[in-house]
Amino acid sequence: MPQGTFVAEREWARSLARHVANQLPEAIRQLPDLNLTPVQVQELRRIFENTLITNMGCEQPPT
Amino acid sequence: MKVCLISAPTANQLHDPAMSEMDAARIMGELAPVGILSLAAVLEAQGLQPEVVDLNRVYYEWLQSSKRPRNHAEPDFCRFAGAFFADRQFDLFGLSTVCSSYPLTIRIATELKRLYPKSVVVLGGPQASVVDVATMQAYPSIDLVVRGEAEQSLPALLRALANSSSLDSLPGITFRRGGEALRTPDAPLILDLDSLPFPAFHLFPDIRFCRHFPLELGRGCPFSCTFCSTNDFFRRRFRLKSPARMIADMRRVRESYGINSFELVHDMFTVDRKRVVAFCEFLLACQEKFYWGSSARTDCVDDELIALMAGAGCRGIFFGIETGSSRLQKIIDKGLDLEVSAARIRACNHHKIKTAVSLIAGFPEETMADLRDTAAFFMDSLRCDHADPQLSILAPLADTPVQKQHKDKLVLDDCLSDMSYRGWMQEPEDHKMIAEYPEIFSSFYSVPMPWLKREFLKELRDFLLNGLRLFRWLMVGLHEDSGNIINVFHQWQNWRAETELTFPDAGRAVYYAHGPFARDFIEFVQSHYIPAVSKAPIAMNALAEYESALLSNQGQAGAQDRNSSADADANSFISPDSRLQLYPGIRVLHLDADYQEILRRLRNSQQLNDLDKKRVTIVITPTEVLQLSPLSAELLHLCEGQNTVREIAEEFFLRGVEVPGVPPDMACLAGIELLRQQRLVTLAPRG
Repeated sequence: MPQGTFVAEREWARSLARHVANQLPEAIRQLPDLNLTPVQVQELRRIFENTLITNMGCEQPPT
Repeated sequence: MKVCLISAPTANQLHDPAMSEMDAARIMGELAPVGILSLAAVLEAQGLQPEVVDLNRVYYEWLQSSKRPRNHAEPDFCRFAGAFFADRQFDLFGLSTVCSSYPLTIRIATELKRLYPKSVVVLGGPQASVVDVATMQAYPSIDLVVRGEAEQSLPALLRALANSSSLDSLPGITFRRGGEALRTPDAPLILDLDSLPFPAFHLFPDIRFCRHFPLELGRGCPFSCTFCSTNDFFRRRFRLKSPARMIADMRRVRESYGINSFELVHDMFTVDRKRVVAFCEFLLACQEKFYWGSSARTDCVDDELIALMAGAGCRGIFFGIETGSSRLQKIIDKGLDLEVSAARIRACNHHKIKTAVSLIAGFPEETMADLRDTAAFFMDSLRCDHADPQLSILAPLADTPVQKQHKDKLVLDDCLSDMSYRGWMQEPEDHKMIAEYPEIFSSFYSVPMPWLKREFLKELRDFLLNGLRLFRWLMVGLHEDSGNIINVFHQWQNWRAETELTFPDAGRAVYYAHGPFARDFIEFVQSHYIPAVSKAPIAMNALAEYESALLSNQGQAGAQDRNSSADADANSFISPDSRLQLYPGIRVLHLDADYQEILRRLRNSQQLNDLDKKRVTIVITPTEVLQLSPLSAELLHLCEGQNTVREIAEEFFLRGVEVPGVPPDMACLAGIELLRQQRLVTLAPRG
């Protein structure tokens, strides 16, 4: 892996991860140099998506 | 006239030594006596200044006092309560009553009469209203009973007492004359509930601690189930406050207490569909966020109405299903179509409305086949994530058809029904009263059950309720696999007998609630049930291993450690030489079946026996459990060895992961960051 990739990628990786986790839907829009298509993002989401089975001891507030 | 209105003891959780003052206040607040507070408001509107005393609060203070040095503690709660009222010179004590604490309320009333003989002691509320004459004949300390809704009859009584005028013409009163208890005709119902003032919550300080604010929505249920006592008090005339009035009260609560979540109190809110629609549409038109729960019958709602209620802020519905047996549905005059009931519960689940699915076992006519149907309904409800099934054992509530039918055959033993017990400690004096007056305290008795053993029912109830609390999906899996959870219960009982596993001295209930039930039961499932009985061993093994891991994980690294580690890691960027490790406090579990697929099948009532083997990785954190995608699992595995990011990325690259247009190293970084954000991996300490 080229060393330089980290400098540029550490932020987008974090943003992308948030996007994958549904935490920041606008990550791609904020990082135009990524040049990822919605299909690619969807694929990243699919391959890394972990499934919540249960919350333990957390009462859900009304939403 | 100086009046003290006293609520019935209803909180049964205050004994917990681990309970904080704030939690206790919240519980007491949510059990606010809306009836007493409505009466207090009526009296205030007439110029009186009543005091309201919450016996839950007095009881809690007594419990707290008992923790102090013994020479300061009063060992008897009734004496403590009596002393609580010293030097306040009340002319009248009005005590509200419910069946579960009726012996205690009478003992406190007797103590008040002993200490303050000139004060008038009056009982009201649902229990005294139906056993008024018997109570007054048995307990001379009780001067009067105000029966039924008292917003009109109590002020009239106070005026009559102040003027020393005759009580004969006051409706809704039971009084004593010449040693005989006399009843006047029933008081008329309050038809216009909007005419009642806003309850005197300002006289109930703990109300500010509640999360779900209790507000009365209406009164009266037109149905006539044979076990239910609500008709005796509110009668069958269905009444509802207007939407405008309810919203005004909800706004007032929000402005006064900052609370926008409500328990809307009504025995049966959804009798009149048009009025439910009107209430919901009014709420929607307000465009204000209010959340609420109420009661309903499954045959008085439909999918469209449930959707409307959810949109209008409904977050909880209490469904009295009572029995899963169609045969018993007719016998108890409930008459629900159980397929419709199940569909309504599923509809609520779809809209994320929490449902309390209330079931009762132990009807006199109940057979094992009926009980199996009820257990099946209980278990099938568990397939809905937002359903909370409950199981009580029938109590013959005073003056109900079932009590009247069996009043000469009631049984008093240690199998008292929790339907009336509700966790209140029974003192020896209470036992004596209960044994002496079955007519007054019938709810502490059992009805005869020729087809079922009470001890069997009690244990089944403990088994189901604790089973769902401890391992919901294992229980559902066993039900699916065995055909009925009662089959498993029989096998569990037999296995316990064969392995000579006995209950501790503290008893069966303690064993199931706080003892080693969970550990023993998982051992039973793994060592006996799966090898000997299971038709779906792959799925059942996965369910049992999952629960076993959760159980052994209890008490390990806590959320606090997790948060402090997260703080250190949160703002650090990874570099190629960063080393990664598993987050402290997480546990990785490998199963041989797709746990998520098992849950999907159980939710959809699909069989488990054709499930294929598949290796999956589960991560247990102190706050949640996740099933990892195969690539996340591989990344997590690479992080377990404290590899550098560079090493992980190279390994990932070699595995030929292909995301069209995204280089593998970038995909790898995204995956690592995702694991970090989910707090499954963290940067390892340098050096």
